Amino acid sequence: MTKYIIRRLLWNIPVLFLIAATTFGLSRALPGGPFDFAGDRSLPESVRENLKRKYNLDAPIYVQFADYMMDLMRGDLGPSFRYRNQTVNDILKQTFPISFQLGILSLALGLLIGIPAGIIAALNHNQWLDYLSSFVAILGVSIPNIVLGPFLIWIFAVKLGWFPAAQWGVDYTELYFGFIPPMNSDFWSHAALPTITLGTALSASIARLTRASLLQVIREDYIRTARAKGLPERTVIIVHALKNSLIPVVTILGPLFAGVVTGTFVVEQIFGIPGLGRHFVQSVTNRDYPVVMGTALLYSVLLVLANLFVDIAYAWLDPRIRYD
Amino acid sequence: MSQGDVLLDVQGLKMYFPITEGILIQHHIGDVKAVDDISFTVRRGETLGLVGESGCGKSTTGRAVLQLYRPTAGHVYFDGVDLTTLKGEELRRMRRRMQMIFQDPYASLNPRMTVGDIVGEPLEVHGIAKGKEKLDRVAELLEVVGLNPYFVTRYPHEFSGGQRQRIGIARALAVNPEFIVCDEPISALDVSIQAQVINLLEDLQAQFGLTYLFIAHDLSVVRHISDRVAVMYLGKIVELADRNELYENPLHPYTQALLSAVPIPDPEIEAQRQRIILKGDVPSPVNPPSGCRFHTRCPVVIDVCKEVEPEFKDAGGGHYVACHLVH
Ligand SMILES: Nc1ncnc2c1ncn2[C@@H]1O[C@H](COP(=O)(O)OP(=O)(O)OP(=O)(O)O)[C@@H](O)[C@H]1O
Ligand code: SF4
Ligand SMILES: [Mg+2]
Repeated sequence: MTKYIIRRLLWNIPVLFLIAATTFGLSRALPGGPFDFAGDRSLPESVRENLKRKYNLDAPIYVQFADYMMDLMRGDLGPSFRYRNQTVNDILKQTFPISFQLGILSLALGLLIGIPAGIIAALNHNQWLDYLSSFVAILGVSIPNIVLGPFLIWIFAVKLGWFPAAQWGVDYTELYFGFIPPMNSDFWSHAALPTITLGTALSASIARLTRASLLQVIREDYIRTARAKGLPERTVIIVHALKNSLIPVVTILGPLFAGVVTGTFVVEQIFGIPGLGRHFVQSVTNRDYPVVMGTALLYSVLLVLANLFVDIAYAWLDPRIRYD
Repeated sequence: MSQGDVLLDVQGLKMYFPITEGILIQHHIGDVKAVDDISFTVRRGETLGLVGESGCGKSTTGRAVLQLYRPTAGHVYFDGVDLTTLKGEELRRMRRRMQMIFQDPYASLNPRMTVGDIVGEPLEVHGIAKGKEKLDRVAELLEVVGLNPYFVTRYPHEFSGGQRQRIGIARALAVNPEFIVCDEPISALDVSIQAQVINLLEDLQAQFGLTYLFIAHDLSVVRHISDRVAVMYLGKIVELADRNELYENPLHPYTQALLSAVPIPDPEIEAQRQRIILKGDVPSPVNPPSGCRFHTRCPVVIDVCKEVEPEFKDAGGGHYVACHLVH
C-alpha cells in the first residue's frame, strides 16, 4: 500500500507538468494581454512595451516557459501582473485558507444532510418520504447559488436581521496553525449563510446519489441473504447495504472536494468573501498569467491528492480492491 | 413413497409484483403474476424438487415461502405455524429454522465481509454463540462443507464458484435449520463441480435430517435428489408426484414435453426418443392465457382448455395434475 501511494505520487509529477504546460500554452493563446488596460484607460504603446520587458514577456515563449518552470521548482509562482505589489504566493496564502475552510464546512454539511436524506429516501422507496426528499433534492440541485444566496440574505440578514449581510468580518489576527481563523460566534455569524448556500447544493446531489446507489444495493442477492439470516432490518441496512452503497458517493467526493475548497466565484461575490474563487475568474479576464497558472496548479494538486485519497478509501470500503 | 409428517404446508400461495407507472404519483397498472395460487406440502426429511423453465416463478415461490417476499395471498404453515401472520421479532426467530441457498454464489455473499463474518453473523444474531465459541463453530461448519477452516479471514472474491457455494451452504447450516430452500444451487457452477455440491447436500441431509425444497430447471438433477417432484409453468404447479411416478408416467402434456427433451443414457431407448417440440414462447405472466395457461402451446389442446381452468387434483396415488384430458 505504501509502495502504491509513493508510485501514485511520483506518477503525478509528469501529470502536473503536463497540466502546467497546457495551462501555460492556453493562457498565452488567448487574444489580448495583461497590460491592455489600466482601469478604464488603455495604456500607451510605449508603457506597454516597458511593462512587457519588465516581466520578460517579450522573450520567446519557450524561454518564458522555461523560466516559469525554473521558478516553479523553487516554489515561486511569480508576481501578479494585475496586483502590482503582490506575488501569486501571497495571493494564494491570503485567499486559499478562507475558501478552504468554507469549502470543508459546506462539504461536511452536505454529507451530514445528504447521506441520511438519501438513506431515508431509499428505505421509503416510492412512499411519501421518498417523494418529499427527492423533491427537495431536485429543488436543491436546480436552484442556483446565485438565487439561493441572495434569497437567504434577504430572509435571514435583511428581514430577520440574524446575520450581517454581504461582508466578511472574520478576525485574522489570531490564527490556528497559522491559517485557520478561530471558529467563534463571530466567525459563524459570517460563515453560516454561505455555508448553507454551498452545502444545500452539495447535500442535494449527495442525497440523490446515496439514494440511487442504496436502492441498487438493497436489491442485491447478498442483502436477501442477510435478511434470510434473520438479521434485524437495521443491521441489514447499516452493516450490509450502506458500506457497499457508499462507493459511488466516495467517488464524487474527490472532485467535489477539490472544487469546493478552491472557492466558488458566485458565492464569494454574493457574500463578499475575500476567497480564492474570484481569482479563478478574474485572472483570466485580466490575462494575469501567473495567477491563472497558480490557481490552476493549486486546483490540480488538490484534485490529484483528493483522488488518491478516494482510491485509498475504496480499498477500505471494498476488499476486492487491493493495491500493490 | 416416503411417509412422514408434514413440515411445510403451502396453501393458495400468490405472489404478485405490482407494475406501476407515473412520474410523481405511481399508478398501479397491472401485476406480474409470478406465483398464482399454488398449493403443496413438504414432509419432514424429504426433498421436494421444483422444476420449470426460467421465469416460471420458482425462485419467487422459494422466497415467498420463506417470507423474503410477503405473499400477496395464501398461507404458509411451517410446523403448524402460519408464517404469513408473523412479523418482526417472531418472524426473525422462525428464520433460524429455515434457510435458503441462493442461485448465484457470486451475488449472494456480501463482498466486503470475510468468510468468518458471513458464516458467524447468524450465530451471533440468534444468540447461538459468540466470541471464541463462535469462531470454533465457524471452523467446524467450514470443515463440514469441505472447506479449510483456515479460510475464515478471506473474502468471497478469493474463492471459486464451487467454494463460494460451499460458503453459502455453511452459512445456511450455521443456525441448525430444519428446512432449506435450495434455489438452483448448482446451475451457476461448472459441470465437474455440480456433482460434488449435490453430494454434499445429500450428505448433509442425511447427517442433519434436513428437509429440502430443491429448485432446478434441470430434470436430471432433480430426479437424482428428489423424493417428489413438482412441475411449474407460468406461476402454477401443473403436476406433482413421486419422483419415479412422475418420470415414468408423466400425465401433463407440459411435463411430457420437458421429459422428452432429456437424453436417456440407454442408447437403444435414446434412439427411439421422440422429442415434443413446444411451439411459441412462454406467455407473459402479466397477462397469462385464459383457461389452462398452457393452452397456447399445448400439442393436445381441446376447446374447453381455452375457457375453463383445469383443477389441480389427485389423479390417484398422490399424483396431482391440472389438465382436462386427465380428469
Ligand atoms: N422483485 C420482482 N419484481 C417484479 N417482478 C419480479 C420480481 N422477481 C421476479 N419477478 C418476475 O416474476 C417472474 C418469475 O421470476 P422468478 O425469478 O421466480 O423465476 P424463476 O423460475 O426463478 O426463473 P430462473 O430459472 O430464471 O431463476 C418473472 O417474470 C420475473 O420477471
Ligand atoms: S388442460 Fe388442455 S391445454 Fe392444458 S395441458 Fe391439458 S390439454 Fe393442454
Ligand atoms: Mg430463479
